[in-house]
Parts: sequence; structure tokens; C-alpha cells
Amino acid sequence: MTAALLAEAGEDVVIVEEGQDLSIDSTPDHSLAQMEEKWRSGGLTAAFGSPKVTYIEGRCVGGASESNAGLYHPPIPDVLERWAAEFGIEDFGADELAPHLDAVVQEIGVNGRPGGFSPASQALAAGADAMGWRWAEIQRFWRYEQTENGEVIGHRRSMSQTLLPRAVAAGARLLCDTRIDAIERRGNRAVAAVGVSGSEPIRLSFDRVVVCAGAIQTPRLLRNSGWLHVGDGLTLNPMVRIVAKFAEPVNVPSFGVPVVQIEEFKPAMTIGCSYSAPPHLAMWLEGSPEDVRRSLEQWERLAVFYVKVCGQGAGTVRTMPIFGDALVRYRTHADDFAALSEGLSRLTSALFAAGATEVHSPLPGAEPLKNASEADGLRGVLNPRNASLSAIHLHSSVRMGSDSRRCGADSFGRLWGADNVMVNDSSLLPTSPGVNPQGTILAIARRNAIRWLDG
Amino acid sequence: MRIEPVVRGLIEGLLVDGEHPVPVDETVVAMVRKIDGMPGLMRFGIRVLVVCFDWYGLIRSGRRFRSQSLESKRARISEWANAPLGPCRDMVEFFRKMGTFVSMSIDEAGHR
Repeated sequence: MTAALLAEAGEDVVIVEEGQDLSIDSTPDHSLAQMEEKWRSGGLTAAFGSPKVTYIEGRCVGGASESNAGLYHPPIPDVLERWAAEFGIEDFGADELAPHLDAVVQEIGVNGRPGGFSPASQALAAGADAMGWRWAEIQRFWRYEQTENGEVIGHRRSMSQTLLPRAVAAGARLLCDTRIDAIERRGNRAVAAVGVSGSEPIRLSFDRVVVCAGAIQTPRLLRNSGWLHVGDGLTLNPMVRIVAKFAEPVNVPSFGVPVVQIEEFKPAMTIGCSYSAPPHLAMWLEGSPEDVRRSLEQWERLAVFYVKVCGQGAGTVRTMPIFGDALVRYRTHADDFAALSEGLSRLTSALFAAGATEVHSPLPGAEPLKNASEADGLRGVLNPRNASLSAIHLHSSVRMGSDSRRCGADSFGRLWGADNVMVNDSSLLPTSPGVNPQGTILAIARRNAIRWLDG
Repeated sequence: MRIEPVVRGLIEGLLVDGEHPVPVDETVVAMVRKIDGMPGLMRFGIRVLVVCFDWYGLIRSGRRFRSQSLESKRARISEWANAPLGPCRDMVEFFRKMGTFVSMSIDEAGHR
């Protein structure tokens, strides 16, 4: 977004990406090969704490948008207003962000899948209906076409398919396979980026630099460059998953990522359904190898569901001495274990109400639950010792706001303590937005880039 | 120190059930590749744990883990899966979950 707008305004732009420039369909979606090719460290990254929280970061041209679900959920107006008030963000709120959200939707394309949603999504919706909870179909940054025989073909509207070609068409140059290790500075002024391109050292001088490397790599790079006030306040959405079994087939991988979410408890809690091909199912089934394989003989009747909460904990991003990687630490708040347990109980109740015959508990060694009355037993069940947490949305490591003591960047992403350094990615979000953040991140990026161009 | 023999033992102990074919060789190669691709501290940590686990077998039953029977391997894995120390449990959990995902992905790719 930033590169496209700056290049179209006539700026001389170089886009630097650590990963490779890969075709959108170089690997099958959700596959092991995709993990290894498009995610940092093959998808094996974790925030240290009790418990550790595994997370993922994209590392290729286009970043996470090349392989994520691409779910679009508009930000919750109350959350935006709270950010503006609590962090003193100027000219910010639902009304101010609305035109940018509209532009994002128009320019990238947000659509629902024609022909209805997957049976697993339908099951979750039925469960929500039975419990009297609101649910919604979440649209995606995808474009769909329907063939004459009714087959639905989806096309991901990732950055490599949308905004990057725009930036390049406007004259931006793309430099991939290039890792920037630090930004050279003279006082408060950044003068060059230094790193490695392929296997050769590289030094790129510039008038100004925009760092869009995500909530982990952005603060790591800035701290490596001497801006030590960033990297605190990291937020994420801890998530737990369970597998449910139904009497009828519910698992149809060709539908792609299930798109129904329970809206009733947002923004504090989101309940939804995950992609559930057999390898993914197998990861979340407890038991001996024999038990897991036996369960998977009926994989069409199994699906993975999740509960994620707006984490109340906080983390830090530092650079690991010797190794040089990001050292991410995160302290999961006690309330989050309670909220996730409550969410598991709710989800389990809804799944049994939707006709599930079995719900596999996420607890190590636990027997599958057989009826709804057992759902109550999940309340309060998670703790640092038994919870297996993951996160896919990380934010807030360079918060934007007018108070330089609490925020890493000003209300428009200009780094405090620097004359010509901007940040324009998920790091700026002051807290977790409580919904899928891609649309919010893009809208804020558009707002900030236009502001910089206006001077 | 080469960790492949220990990784192989872990994959066999965790995934082989005698009924279903498991692509052990390919899974071991992929798991070692994944470990080598981890961020530095995690890579160092998991390698240390794997080596410790190998020697734990010697202390526990007179032979390193890599050289034990499948039954003994499962017993050692079970002991670490229920150990009071979090990193021991985490290591077993990592090989169980990621090993399962990797082996089934290899299976699936073969059928594709």
C-alpha cells in the first residue's frame, strides 16, 4: 500500500524484501511446502513465556498476504475511538478511517464465496443459532469465478496480485532476497540501510525510509539501528483449537478456509472454524498414533474449530545476542486462560447443539467429550502448564500516538526520535483490534501514506 | 552431533502404529530440515534437548535412546511427555504435532 501510493505520487521508491519473489501458486495453499517457502523459519517461530505461544510471519514478496486466510473484517468503531482517546491519536476514528477502508475494499477486492459456505461453517452457524448467538460470514480478500459446471475457483488478492504490481507500474523497484540488518543514522536522521542481498553486502542510501516488516521484524530492525524505545507492548490474540466429529461429512477442503465466525462475543472473543485437511486435523487430535489414525479414517466427519481472545498480556521484541534473531517474549495474562477456557466451553456447547457426536479436548491425554453436559467442565480448565497456544495476529510493538513516552511513532506513523523514518504496518495498532486485522492495517497504512504525501 | 538417529527414534516412537504405513525416512529428513530452519535460539534449544534425550535413555535403561527397542522408545517418550519440566514436554509435543503434520503432508503430496 505504502509503496504503491508513494510511487504513484512520483517518489523514487525501492521496495526491499528479505524473502523470495514467488508465484502465487508456487505451492498448494496450506501445504507443508507453502510453510517452508513463504513463512519465516518454515512457520516455526514462538514467543517465549509460560506457556510459549507459537506464531507465524510471512517471508516472501507480498508477506503474509500470500498465504493467509485473507479474511476481511471492518474494524469495530468503539475500538477505534478507544485507541484515539487512550493513545491520543490525532484525526483518528471510525469516520476518519471509513474512506480508507472503502478504498481498500475497492482497490483490492473483498468478496464472499458464491454458492454458499462449507459444511463445517454451516455447522458452526447452526450451533450459534441454537445457542441464540449472532454469527456472520466473513468476506475475504479473494476474487471468485464460477465455471459453467458450477465449480467455484478462487483467486487470492494478495499484495503480489494487487498493490505491488501497481507500485512497480508506477516505477517502484523491487529488491528481493535482501535482508536489511540495520539503518545507519546521523543523529536523528536515517541515511542508509545496510544488509545482505543474496550473499553480497548491500548499502542503500535514501532521503527517507518506511519500515513495514511486521510486528516482530520492524521493532527488531529499529532497535538494531539504535531506536530503543520500540519493541515493548507487543499484543497478540492467543488461540486454542479443538476437533469436533459429526455424524455426517462436514470437511470439504476444496471450500478453502471456512468463513463463519461467531460475532456474539467480539471483540473480546472470536470463535470460528479452521482449514481442516487431514494433516491439519492430525496436529490437533490427542491420543496414541493408533487413535489418531483411527480417527482420521473418518476425516470427512471431522473439522478443526478455534477460540481466540484479545490477549490482555504483553510482550517484548528484542534482538537475541549471538544468534541475531528476534527474541520475542510474551506473558499470557491469567484472565486469558480463563477466557479461552470459557470460549472452549461455549464452542463445545454450540458444536453439540449443531449435531457433533464427539469433541476432542485440547488437553493432553484427555478423552473426547461425548455430550453437551461435559462442556461446563471445560471452564477454567486451561493453565500455563496444559495450554497449547498459537497466534496469527501480532501488533502494537511500535504503537502510534501523540505521547512519545508510551508510543513508538506519532499519530501518523512517524517514528519518535527520528526525522525521516516512518513505520506503516501492524506494529502501529495500539492494541489488538479484536477482529481479523488485515483491512484495518491496510486502511491505516493508506491514511498515513497520504498524510506523508500531503506533507 | 548428528541428531538424525534420535529424530528417527522419536518419529518411530510417536507415529508408527504397526497398522498404517508412515513415511519415516522422508519425515525424518523434513523434520531435521525444519529444525535447521528454526530461529537460532530455538534451533539451539531443540538440538540440546534432543541430545539430552538421547543420553537420558542411557541413564534410564543402559542404552542411548537411538539404540533402544520401539517399546522402550515409547516408554522414554512417555516419561518426557509427562515430565515436570516444561521444555521436556514441549519437545515431545513438538515432535508429535509437527511430525504428524509433516508425515501426513508427505503422504498427501504423494497421493496428489
